Amino acid sequence: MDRERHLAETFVQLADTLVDDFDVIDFLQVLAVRCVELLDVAAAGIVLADQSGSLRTVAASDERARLLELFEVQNDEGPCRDCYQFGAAVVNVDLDAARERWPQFAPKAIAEEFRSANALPLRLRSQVIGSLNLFHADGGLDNAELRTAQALADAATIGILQQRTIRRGEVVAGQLQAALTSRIIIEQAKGVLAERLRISTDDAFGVLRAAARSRNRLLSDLAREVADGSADAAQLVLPPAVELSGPG
Amino acid sequence: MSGVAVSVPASSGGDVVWRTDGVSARLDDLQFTLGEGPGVDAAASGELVLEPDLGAVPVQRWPVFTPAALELGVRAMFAVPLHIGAIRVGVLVAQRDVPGSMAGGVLTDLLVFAGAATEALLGSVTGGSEPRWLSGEASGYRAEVHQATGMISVQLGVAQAEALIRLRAHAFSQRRAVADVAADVVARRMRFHENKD
Repeated sequence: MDRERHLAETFVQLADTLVDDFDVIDFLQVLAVRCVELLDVAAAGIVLADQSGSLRTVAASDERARLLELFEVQNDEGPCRDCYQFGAAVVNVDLDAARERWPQFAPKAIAEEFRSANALPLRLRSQVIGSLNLFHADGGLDNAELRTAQALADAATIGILQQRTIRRGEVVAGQLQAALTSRIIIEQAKGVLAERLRISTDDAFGVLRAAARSRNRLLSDLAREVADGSADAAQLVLPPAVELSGPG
Repeated sequence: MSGVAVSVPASSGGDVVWRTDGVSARLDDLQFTLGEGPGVDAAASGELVLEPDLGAVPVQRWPVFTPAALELGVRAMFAVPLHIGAIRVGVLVAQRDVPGSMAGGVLTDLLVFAGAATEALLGSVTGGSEPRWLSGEASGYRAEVHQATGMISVQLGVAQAEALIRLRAHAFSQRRAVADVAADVVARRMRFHENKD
């Protein structure tokens, strides 16, 4: 499929998602995966700032712990931290040349075979609420791709602000907190699933998401039930129960 | 703000654990007794409940509570759930005797305070005299801590809250960082067993 058509379909899909009751983490994860496809990057992740200005990972193109670690370390330093702090995009930084700028982050990213990085701000008027982080195995983004990347970052912002938690239109801080809480619940549920099903926490996210999809449930709702024990983890790997009703 | 109260969930007795002087305790008592109000809704939903003008809240929302709160002179209420993911530690309710929205910075301050209160409440259960929430460990929370909490809850057959408390207590007793112990649990280098501290 050519890029323009894929891009158009991505925005249609994202807009469709926003219409109904939707799950913000699921939305952001789809968006991160689309970034990888559309921008030809190796990995993508989205971090949000909490009320203390700490950066927290909310979604990534894949859930490998080693990738998540690369976003987490940016709470101290890295393209996301710089993007958030200075409120501007960090564009096509060569990681090998950034070993002094980011002494912790750069070697870790290079060890994962990433060569360069971008970070686009999640902007809300004059405020930056987080950033979209892109890792490249080689090359970088050209100007057209940068505009696309910023459009995807803006779509992420819209998704975060569209959550069902809106009671009154004034509380961005509440929206951010809700997204971060959802992410923590998912991590807790990943732990429960990993232990119950004897799988890695890396694989647990896939199990959880597949189960939510096949049951037509919101990811966060199902995650909460797994975490608090009201959903049986062992049942999630089975097909959804069929309604036994009606004649026959 | 005219006052702030922090209370633990009804399942843990619904007690006010910290409050400023004035009507805050009475207000909290009302919500707990009636089972309605911003604090009750915030605790149940896990979402912020911000009512900058209590007098404008439709009466059917909290039919008994709202008139009683207005009678106490409360005009605005802001409730923040104290949650760590699926763990419900309590709720913080701030109130004011004049209506009006909080300025953005005030809400941020309230959320920072709520974060500290969450840590303090959880820390108070782990024992030890050290104010753990001042140790800066909270800001070091990583995905692995939450994953490990989920794993420990299965290993011990306990709720997430107790699993997190056990994880922290273990780290404290071994003088290790919580994140390091969590990494061991996630990597399956370490398991928690019943009757083991």
